[in-house]
Amino acid sequence: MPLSLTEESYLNGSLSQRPPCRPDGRDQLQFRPIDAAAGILPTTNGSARIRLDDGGECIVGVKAEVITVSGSSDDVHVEVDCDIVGIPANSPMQNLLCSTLETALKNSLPSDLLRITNKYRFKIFVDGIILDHVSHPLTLFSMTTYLALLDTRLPRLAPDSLGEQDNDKDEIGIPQFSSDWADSDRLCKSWSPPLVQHGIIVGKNVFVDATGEEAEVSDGGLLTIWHNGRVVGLRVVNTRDSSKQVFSINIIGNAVEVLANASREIEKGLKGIRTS
Amino acid sequence: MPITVNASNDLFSSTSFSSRASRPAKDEFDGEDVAMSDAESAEAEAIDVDEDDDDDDDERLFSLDHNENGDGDARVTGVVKSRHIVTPGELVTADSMWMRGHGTYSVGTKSYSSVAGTITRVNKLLSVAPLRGRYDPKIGDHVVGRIIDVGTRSWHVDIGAKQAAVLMLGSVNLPGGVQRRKSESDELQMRAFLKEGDLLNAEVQAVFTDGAASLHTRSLNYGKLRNGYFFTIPSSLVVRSKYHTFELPGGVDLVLGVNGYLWLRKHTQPLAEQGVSITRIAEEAGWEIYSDENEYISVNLRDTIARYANAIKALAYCEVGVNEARILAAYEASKEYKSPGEMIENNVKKRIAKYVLLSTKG
Repeated sequence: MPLSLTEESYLNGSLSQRPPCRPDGRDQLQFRPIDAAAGILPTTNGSARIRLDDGGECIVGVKAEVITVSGSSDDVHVEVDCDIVGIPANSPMQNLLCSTLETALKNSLPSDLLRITNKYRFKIFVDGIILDHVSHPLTLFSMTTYLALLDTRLPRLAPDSLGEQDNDKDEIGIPQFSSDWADSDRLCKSWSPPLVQHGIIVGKNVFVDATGEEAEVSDGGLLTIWHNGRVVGLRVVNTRDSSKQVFSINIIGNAVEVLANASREIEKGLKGIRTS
Repeated sequence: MPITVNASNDLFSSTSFSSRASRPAKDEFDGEDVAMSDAESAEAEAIDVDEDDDDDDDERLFSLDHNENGDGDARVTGVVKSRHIVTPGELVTADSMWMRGHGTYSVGTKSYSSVAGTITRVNKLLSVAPLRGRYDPKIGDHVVGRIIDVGTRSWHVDIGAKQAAVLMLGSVNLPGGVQRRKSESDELQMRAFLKEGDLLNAEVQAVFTDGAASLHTRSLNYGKLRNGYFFTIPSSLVVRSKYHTFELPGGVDLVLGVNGYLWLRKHTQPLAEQGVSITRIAEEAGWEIYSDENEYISVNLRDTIARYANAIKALAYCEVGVNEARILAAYEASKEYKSPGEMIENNVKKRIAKYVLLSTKG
């Protein structure tokens, strides 16, 4: 639904003045309250659900599958898929979500975490569904995936399936896993997942957690990929159909800094959520 | 029914008496029932209407499984009766004597609810009024809407109802006088008056049999909206009142559409008060009523508008019905917070709603 001209000029005026005044009075870095829960799907290795204040909701399940690899390749096998309710499959939005997150995960996940033996690897499937969204769904999907990965546990090999000597470990045939679920390792014991943050730019200001109407009047959007305490990736996205999607290059440095601060806070918040 | 007519008469009249006594307080101010919508008050009226209906019927209504055998704790059924909330698929009555209205369906002789809501009965007609749902237009409602389509001699307007409302070209004020005939050139330049995305406030002029509404803006109180900010709340939370345009402290006007669409704007002098004589208003209404330009709006005013918006959203979050007194109280409560941004936290919203309920109690 397009905004009326007067509405657009009011919102754009409010957001581009310095200091900006968002229609709901928030700070540039302030998020709306979210409702998050981890470990909600018993048949997955890890899962999470996040609900936003505006009704946006996302559920992500992480499943691990054992695959065989030839040779000792160091490829990281991750597949990210997500359905967005109300948007047909293979839409640009869906591709953006899946490809951004899949690339971020593949680039940051050390391959030895998924290694079982020389021949066998874990393949990680991240499947999400976005039940509803008003604002840009990427931050929502990324936060939920982050939480689901924090919740993810991979089973250990059963002790009796190993050979007599420890160095036989790589020579065993089909891996046998311990039947006790308590005997499992957290995927994120030594690794922390990447976090994608979406921000919008209006004039010289940058905003996180933009509402739909704020994105509608923005000059453009920026995605940052946050991993291990720094921004490792960047992508410019359209926030609306209109052609007026230009912003100054000078703003990008500031925007990355703002989004990095937001990501740091979110990471802190998500790590505080109790996982199973 | 095993219960004697006498006993049930006594009990029923006593319950209806107590509910009547508590109604004024309840409808307006009770903490738990504040979300009472017009639908609910309509239901309360409906109960009033047939209070002197033959009472032995009342025992059969709502005879759910547990009291079907008629041991009939009539006191319980009496209480349940006036505020009986049912969920979809719940048995409303097993008796075939009732006519089944909106929100019900039947299997055999049994009637079930098809929505979550309260039971309403008028004589022998049984219906369930939904607690939430789309706005149901009524003649005379002051609504805010957004143009979604420009058609031949009419606009289609989204007012949050099941169907888009219609605004006929003949039902708007056109530049150059209210009373003049609409010419062909007006038809050709309809987009110059109102185009897709434009917001307007209007009155519901008529409701068609299929529930679609026809609007009119034939008054200078209605028309295109500018200088402000639009947001929505559930329409069931808007308390119907005589006026739906308020001048609020801080230089802000609010148009509280009955359909739950709200417009907060900079306060502007109504045209009638600008020294224009009543008879000349029509001629004075020139193109500026369709202007797309905002006036200058100061930073403070934008902040105040954000504060009002958050205050109303806080009420809606806590399912508190919205009227002028509550908005003023919520604004008062919000002054405790320096930045309106603090009011998006859920515990702050709850605190504001609590303050509002206590302070508007009377």
